[in-house]
Amino acid sequence: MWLLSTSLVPLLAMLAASDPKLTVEVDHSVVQVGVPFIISVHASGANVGEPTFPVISGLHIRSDIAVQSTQTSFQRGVIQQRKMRGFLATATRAGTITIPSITVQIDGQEVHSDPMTITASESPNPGRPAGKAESPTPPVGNPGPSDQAQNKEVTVDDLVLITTDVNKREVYQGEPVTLTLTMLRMQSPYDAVPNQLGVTLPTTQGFYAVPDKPKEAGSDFRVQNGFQYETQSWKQTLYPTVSGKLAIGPWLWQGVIAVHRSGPYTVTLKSEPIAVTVKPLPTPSPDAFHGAVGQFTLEAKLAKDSAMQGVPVELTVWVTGQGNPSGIGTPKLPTMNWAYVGDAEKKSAKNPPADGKTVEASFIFPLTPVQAGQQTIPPVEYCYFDPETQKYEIAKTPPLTLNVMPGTERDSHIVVGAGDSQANRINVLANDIIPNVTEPGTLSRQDSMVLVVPVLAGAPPLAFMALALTMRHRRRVASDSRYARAYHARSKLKKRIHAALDTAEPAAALYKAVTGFIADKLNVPESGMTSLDAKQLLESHGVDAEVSGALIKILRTCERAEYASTPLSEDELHAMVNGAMVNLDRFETQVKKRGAA
Amino acid sequence: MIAQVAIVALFGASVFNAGFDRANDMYSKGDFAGAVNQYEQLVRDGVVDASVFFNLGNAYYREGRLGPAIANYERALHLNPHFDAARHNLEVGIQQTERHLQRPLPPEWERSLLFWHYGLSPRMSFWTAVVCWFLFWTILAMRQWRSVAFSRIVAGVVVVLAAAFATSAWAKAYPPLLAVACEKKVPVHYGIGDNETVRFELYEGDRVTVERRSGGWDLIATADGERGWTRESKLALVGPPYERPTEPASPNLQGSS
Repeated sequence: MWLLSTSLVPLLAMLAASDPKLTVEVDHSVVQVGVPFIISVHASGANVGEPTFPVISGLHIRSDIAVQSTQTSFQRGVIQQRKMRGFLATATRAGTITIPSITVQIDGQEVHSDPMTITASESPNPGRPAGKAESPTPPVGNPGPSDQAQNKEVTVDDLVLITTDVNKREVYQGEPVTLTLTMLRMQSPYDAVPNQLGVTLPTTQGFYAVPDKPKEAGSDFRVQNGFQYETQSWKQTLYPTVSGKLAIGPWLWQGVIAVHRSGPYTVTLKSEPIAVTVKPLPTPSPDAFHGAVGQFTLEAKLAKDSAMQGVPVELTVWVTGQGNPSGIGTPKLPTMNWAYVGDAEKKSAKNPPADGKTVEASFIFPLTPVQAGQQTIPPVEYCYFDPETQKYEIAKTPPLTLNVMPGTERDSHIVVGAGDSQANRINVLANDIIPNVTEPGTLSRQDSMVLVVPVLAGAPPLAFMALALTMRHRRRVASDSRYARAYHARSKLKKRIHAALDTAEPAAALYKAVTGFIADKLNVPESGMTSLDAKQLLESHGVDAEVSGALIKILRTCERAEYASTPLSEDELHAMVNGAMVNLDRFETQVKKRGAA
Repeated sequence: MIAQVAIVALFGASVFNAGFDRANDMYSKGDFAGAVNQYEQLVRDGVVDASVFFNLGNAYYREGRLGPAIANYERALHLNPHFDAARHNLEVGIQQTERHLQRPLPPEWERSLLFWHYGLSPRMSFWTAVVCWFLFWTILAMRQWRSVAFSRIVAGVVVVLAAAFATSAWAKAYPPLLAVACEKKVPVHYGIGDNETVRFELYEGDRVTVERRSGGWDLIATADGERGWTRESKLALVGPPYERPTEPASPNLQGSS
């Protein structure tokens, strides 16, 4: 299946492709010697090459393409191209001229056109007015009732027009003049399409031009001589560098105009030259004036609000506005005894800035403070001539303040030499080191981290373990009553013993303390426990007979003292308390051992 | 020494600040050798501070000893990577070296793993690691009381951060040993000993990595991979440890005016 499809597709494509076609036409079968005309080559096929012309006696054909079009279509799975190439040709002699076969590579084959002949006659060489087409002016046709020309006959001269204009014809030296080049292209129903073959821009001798060539400035529509035109404009700003009468030369445009249902027509257009009167600037000019003409604003900024004595800080001054970029000189800074100011570095915007401004230049001054304290940079001034007010104006910046911190460098090490008036010879600070630190904060010894690191690393996990154990114990106390009784038994015993020593019936209290401790440790009910119960309990839990006997003896003594109404003496009570404590300790140890076992 | 330790114990940090001010005073009077001695004394006493190394670098610079000056600017930058003045002065120093050799870079694995830590000071890395470590255990402790949403994830993130900053702190505490050539020309030999063939020469201010130290000789490597042995005394170590460079036999006076 795959084999079938791969072999069928090219075959079908070949069948689908139409035969290559090649025809050659001229726009006029009768031409005039020296008057350009167009030879059009039409070729179609799947893959169409470019035509080549042989050397033809009596005919000069320009190698560059004057008009061209390419149409691409997709027919039955194959791409089809239709190419038209128009070449500008000029007859060099009168008589019959034969254009031989032209060869074009179409779909890998050489296809030849049919030869054809044209007749050339001597040129009448008519003179043409400036700004109008210099080619013959055959009537193009009647524009029809809808046209604004109201049945006026359209000629080739009306198809495309060019004009040049300036916004001011009398200016001051340095004042900007805007030169506008406009091309007017007749609209529907002719839809003139100009194809430029050669152009000569207006000469601007005596002007400084920005940009070098007129820059495209958009398109518009205009009615002229009763016809509707689409306009295309180019603009250029010219700054007169000398005073007097200056001339802006004509604009020359040569090309071919393609027109709907007619043409193409070869034309040469020329605009009128423009005279500009340049007035000299008023004299005398202020000393601070360096040639800036226009309207400008000034801005200054310090790179930092504070600086170290002897350490340079950048002061940037921006000059922006509308005026002659070549006349922007370096602003002069006011005298500052507390600082040395180095040469400024000028930076200009590569492209004209936005919002109508033509100038954006910055001047960076290295400013080295030599005196500490709160210092002020007085307003920076910039002098320019304003053509609108016809006066010299001064733009100013607000004063700036700089906090200069004292440095520890000696005077001989901190300041750049500004002249003989300064006593000290100075190092160039831009390449020098920044002075010492004077306020280091509190200096302290850096102790070895050998002990600190293990402590810092070990303390948190140890604290966590302690906390975890505590929490576990608390949770067990809360949930396990046996554990809780056993845990609290000792503190309870101590409290009860302490109370027994102070009470009126110490024997009963001591009895309760001992049985309570035994009950807590063995997790049995405390109430109603007799000495016999206690004895059985201790024996059942494997308590040593000696301990058990001693405790039972204490309990029975307490019983006797309580029920026989023979109170215990103080010595007897203390002896019994001590005996109880000792034996309860031993009892606890034995219970723990048994529990552990 | 004991007396000084006792004074420090009694009066705290003011002794070091007084020494620092004294050194600054000597410097401002042009006694750069005296200032060097005073700053070096602070370093010997265990004061590890970017300002001290910066001023020491300035004093060496003014004394005309470019190698130790560059070494001390490097020390200041190691302790405080955002010390712009030290960076400026280091650049000024490097501009005066013969070849403007690049600083040897840390190993590739360290640059890949710790790309984020070069802007941190050693102190910052260390204390961030400590804080993260304590925070991790605090989160675990809180979980003993009550269960907090996402506490397990947060604890995991925090412990990873603690590990990362601890690695950073370790890398800063034990950086590749950097040294700076201290003489006009420092011969680097194929092996240990002056009789060994000289492989290449370092110029004053060139920065190299010390790979091994043996019997007063250092095996050094330059940024472009050249290796060889040279005398320890001809190099100023950036450290740590912060050793005082050997006094040259005849100081090369430059830069002072």
